[in-house]
Amino acid sequence: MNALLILVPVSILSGICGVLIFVWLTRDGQLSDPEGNKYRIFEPDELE
Amino acid sequence: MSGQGACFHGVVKNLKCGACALRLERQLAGLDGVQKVVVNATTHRLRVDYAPDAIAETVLIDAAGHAGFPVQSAEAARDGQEPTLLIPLAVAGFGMANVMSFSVSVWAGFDMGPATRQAMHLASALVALGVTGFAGRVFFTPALKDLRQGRMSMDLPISLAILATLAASFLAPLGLAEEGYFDAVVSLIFLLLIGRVLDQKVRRQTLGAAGNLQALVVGRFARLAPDGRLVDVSAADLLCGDRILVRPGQTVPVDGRLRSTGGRIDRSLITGESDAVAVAVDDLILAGSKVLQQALEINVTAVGEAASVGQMAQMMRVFEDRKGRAQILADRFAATYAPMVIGGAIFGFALWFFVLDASLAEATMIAVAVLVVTCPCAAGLATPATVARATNQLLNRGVLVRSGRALEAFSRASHIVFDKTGTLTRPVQTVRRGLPTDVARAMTGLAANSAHPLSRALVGETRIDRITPAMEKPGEGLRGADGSALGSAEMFGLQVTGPITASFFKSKSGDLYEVPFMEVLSNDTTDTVCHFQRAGVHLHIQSGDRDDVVQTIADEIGITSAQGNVKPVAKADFIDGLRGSPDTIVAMVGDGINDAPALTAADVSVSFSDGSAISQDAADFIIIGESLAKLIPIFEVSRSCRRIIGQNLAFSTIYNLLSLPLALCGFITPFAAAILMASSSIAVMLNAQRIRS
Repeated sequence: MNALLILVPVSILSGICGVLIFVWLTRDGQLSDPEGNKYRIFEPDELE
Repeated sequence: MSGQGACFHGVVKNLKCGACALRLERQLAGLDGVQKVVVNATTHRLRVDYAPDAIAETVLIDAAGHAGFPVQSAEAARDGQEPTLLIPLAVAGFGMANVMSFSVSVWAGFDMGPATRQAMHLASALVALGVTGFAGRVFFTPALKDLRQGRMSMDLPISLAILATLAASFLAPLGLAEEGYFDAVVSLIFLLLIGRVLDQKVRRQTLGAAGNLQALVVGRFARLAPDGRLVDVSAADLLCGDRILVRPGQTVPVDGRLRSTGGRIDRSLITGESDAVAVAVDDLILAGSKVLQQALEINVTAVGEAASVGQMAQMMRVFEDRKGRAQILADRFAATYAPMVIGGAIFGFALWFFVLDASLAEATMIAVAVLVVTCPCAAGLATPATVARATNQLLNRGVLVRSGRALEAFSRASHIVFDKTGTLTRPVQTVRRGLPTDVARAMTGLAANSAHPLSRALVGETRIDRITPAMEKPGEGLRGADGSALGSAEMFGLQVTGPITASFFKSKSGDLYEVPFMEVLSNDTTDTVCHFQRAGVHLHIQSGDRDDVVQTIADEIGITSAQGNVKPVAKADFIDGLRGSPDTIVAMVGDGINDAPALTAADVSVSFSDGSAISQDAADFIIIGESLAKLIPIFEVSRSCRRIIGQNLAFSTIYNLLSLPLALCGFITPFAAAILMASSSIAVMLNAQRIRS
């Protein structure tokens, strides 16, 4: 059962990472235009 | 390229799909000086970062127009006003998944010793605390705010349920109880948030679409182009040095100096005092002043921040109006229902704890189940969600809805009263050749003052040398400051018969000219009239035009109740007269200054975006453009809106009545209660989506 002492915190931490990524995506506005984005995937990448 | 950057926000027209958005993005990105272009195909908003020293804003707007997507500059979308609920939802979802994994392992048991179980409870407690602290604020904050103001909202029972379950759950990690209810706490928050997120999404869409239409339609002003033509522009596109004409009822969008000889304005938006103030030539007119009676010609001296004041105020009024009424209803509902929910929960707790000898934790869980299951979230959502959906559908069809109450009223309309000119018919000015050039010039210079359909037909695309300052008398015509006049036969004391509409123009030298108009029925008038007659609605025409003209038109489209020569106040009296029984709901459709009293008197009213500002102020619906046929979607959408509100309210009442006894008997666990409640809210939301136009 000692494995739990490591695995439980690891699973919670990785979950928190996932939530943080989602928060970043939302704040960055990446989820704000589903209508336009479904066409943007066909766009060739812009080279900076 | 690190120089001073500027940012342009706008609303894009004609955006049919995401492919259009990309095309526009490419077009604009190809311009010199443009750094970044984002076209949002969902909200129809445009944002361009550009270098102002390399490219002008007007070039951007022109380029977009050439690409086929007219752009209207607008304030940045105000998304930030209400933070998105997606993040709390994500946090709650994360918490629910984790707590579930701990709970399932505790339930399954296997060889779990007491120490491991304790550790599992502790981990659950930590996660649940974090989730409640973060995501639970969505409910706690408004509940507390309302409590401080001595009110109870539906957030209160929800907050109590969450906190009571959390408190009872702590008995487990402290070793005082066998099981905890942390899974119930987090899933309660998660499921409740799903309903809130859906609700927020619909409201945002509606507000966004309304804001876009407002920017495109409301606050359009007549600018005198250098070549003398009157051009219709939006307030945001005005520049310093422009000459504009602000018509009665409009709010001045900029600071400027008065060019015309004088007039009266209402400064209540700026000073709070609503007395009419007289202004003279060269006076400074501040943005936010409302023009009374007489159109003002203004030289623009300041735009931008200062200029936005008046428009903002106008926009706010529109939104406040709609939100106000729906909100009041919801608040009243919550205020009566919330104490009952809490009372029910206390009763449940007392019954099980004192009478049936349940444990403290068990009795608390009964109370929580009652709190959750009887929470009338579905009933609370039933009306706003449906109204929001209906508003959204109408916005997509080019109709601005200014109050939710109006939808209800229009769905029951038993009588519709139409104005004639500008509503049922379009005037076409036929004979100008008969007039000497200078007379025609003087006439258009006078007609430019008014938004009346006849005046608009007169001005058309012609060039205007000079605008004659004039007073507009509703239902009669314009009197110029130089002694010229333009108006109905009655204004000049003439007796005219015959089926043709004619205005008269008196030049300043006193000569009288007849200005005949040909009136054509709008394309869709006959179809629209038929539709309503089939639906059993009584139709009437009330017009200020001569009676024989009105009768001719009425015969042509098959309306039997028609009356001409009606004064503005008499129109309102006619409507009051119709309203005999409580079943009679009168709708008024009109666009003129002379319709304003009638629009106010009617139970529900419709005006047109091209009509006078005063009629728009009074109207509940504003049809964009001049299409009378849009009355049909208004009628159909408002009828299906009423039907679905009825279904939703019936459904949520039955749900609440059935679930309460079950919860009191202990058949529903808090977890099941959360699922029941969330699914009832979602059912109501989905039902509202059935409204299509």
